[in-house]
Amino acid sequence: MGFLAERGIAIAGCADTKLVKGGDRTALELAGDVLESLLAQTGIERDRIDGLAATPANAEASNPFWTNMLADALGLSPVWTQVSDLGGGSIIANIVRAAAAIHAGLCETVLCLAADAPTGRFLARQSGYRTEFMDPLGFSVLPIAFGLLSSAYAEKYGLPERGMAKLAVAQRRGALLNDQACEVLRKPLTEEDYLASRMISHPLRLLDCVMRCDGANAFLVTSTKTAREIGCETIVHPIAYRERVNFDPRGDVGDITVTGFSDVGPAALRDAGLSPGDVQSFHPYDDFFIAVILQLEQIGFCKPGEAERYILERDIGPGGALPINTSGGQISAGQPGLANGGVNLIEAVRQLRGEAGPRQIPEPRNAVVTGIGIIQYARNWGCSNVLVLERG
Amino acid sequence: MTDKPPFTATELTRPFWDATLERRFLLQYDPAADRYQFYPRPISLFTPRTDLEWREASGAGTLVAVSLCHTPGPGFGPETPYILSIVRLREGPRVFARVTGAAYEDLRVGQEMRLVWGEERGEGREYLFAPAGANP
Repeated sequence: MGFLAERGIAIAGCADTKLVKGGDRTALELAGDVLESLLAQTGIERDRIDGLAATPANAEASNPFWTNMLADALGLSPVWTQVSDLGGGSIIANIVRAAAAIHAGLCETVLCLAADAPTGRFLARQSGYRTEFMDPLGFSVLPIAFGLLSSAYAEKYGLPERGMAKLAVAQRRGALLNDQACEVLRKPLTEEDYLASRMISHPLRLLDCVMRCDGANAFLVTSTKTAREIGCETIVHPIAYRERVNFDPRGDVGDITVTGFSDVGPAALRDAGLSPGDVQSFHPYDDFFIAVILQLEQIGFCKPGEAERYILERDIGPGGALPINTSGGQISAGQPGLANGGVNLIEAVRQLRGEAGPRQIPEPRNAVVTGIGIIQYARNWGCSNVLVLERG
Repeated sequence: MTDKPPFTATELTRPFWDATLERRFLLQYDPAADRYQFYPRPISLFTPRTDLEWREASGAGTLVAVSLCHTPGPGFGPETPYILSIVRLREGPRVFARVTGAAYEDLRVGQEMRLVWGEERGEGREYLFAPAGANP
């Protein structure tokens, strides 16, 4: 990914829909809404968009031609397309796949779009190990996998519940300041509320978990040259990216709490020329708080077992030493199906563009965004990826 | 009668599920690497071989992770909450299964476990784990 360091690629705009639970709109309709917003914000002519990178949608999982359907319905005629099936890693992966395609001359301006409406319709079904070796044995929902993971962490270091309580409260404050967050989640939360929330999959609490909702997000990725040409005032460059799928395939590590972030985290920061202390805002993929704990440690912000202390010793709000998921993250804003990781990414881009309103970090120059995708058999997760952004 | 999802076999996994009906737990074994793997895969994780052997596991292992599940899958409602676990078998692979014969509060990650057998359902039989010292 050396080409990213040249700052030749730009995120020239971003848009999202308000996150809603049980909304009436389909994924396709939400995609139209978000494209309208993106075209209005960037002023780009639709016909200049010659690339389309999308993600599958849980609500449209029976359609193997979903990306083509999007192009048709949205009136796009791309010369390059991509659909990424990395679960929560797909959105930041698409930014960099788009960047690579632009760098290779395959296209010039890519719409990276994700839309999903799983609260009304959920058609996705994972086959293979999941339906044969997990579901008939009592596996039902993702919190189980993270409850198991939490128990393995707790055995080594203790359950970091005070640290996660602080994360829960800080992210909820962000959601209260984020009009795009799901209204059902925009209620003040205390650490006592977090600690008192019921167990879903012991030792995992209800307030450790994301809530599914409907929504869409979109990012315009183009060359820095074109971004300037279309009048983009604040350019955000992707400057480093690392991705690891199926970390530790042979089980040699022997510790299920060690994830792909132990590999891609330090590498992405090194590529960007940053040490963890240089990072000015952190937007970790947050399907469950234990995943944020593991990322803080494995990307290198602190040592293994020290994430709770790290969080407790710092202000993690917008004015703090390391602002984390300042718009609420997915846990307090909502998880719009497989448009999930866009919630973390769009906040990072907005912070760098200076468009975060009441939760704006004072003049941030960089941000780190992550993705997590796919639950593996008797391990942790299948995709770990890290994207480093810089204000141009 | 049960509403739990049935165990289903494919060409690859049929020897495994057939053996569960006889209360035997088989692992794929790659003799060239002297390594075991589970769940059954279409190729060795260790060498470029697909002609793997099936070998019976000892059933002994160590508790790697444990959770008390309050969100039952289809058919598991009457047994909720129930205990789910990841156990690392003595042969190496990790296995996901329910725990029986113990209270959640008494289980500790790192303790010795053994594989026990549950009900026959569809094309296989459920396997579970119990503390090594517990009565069947």
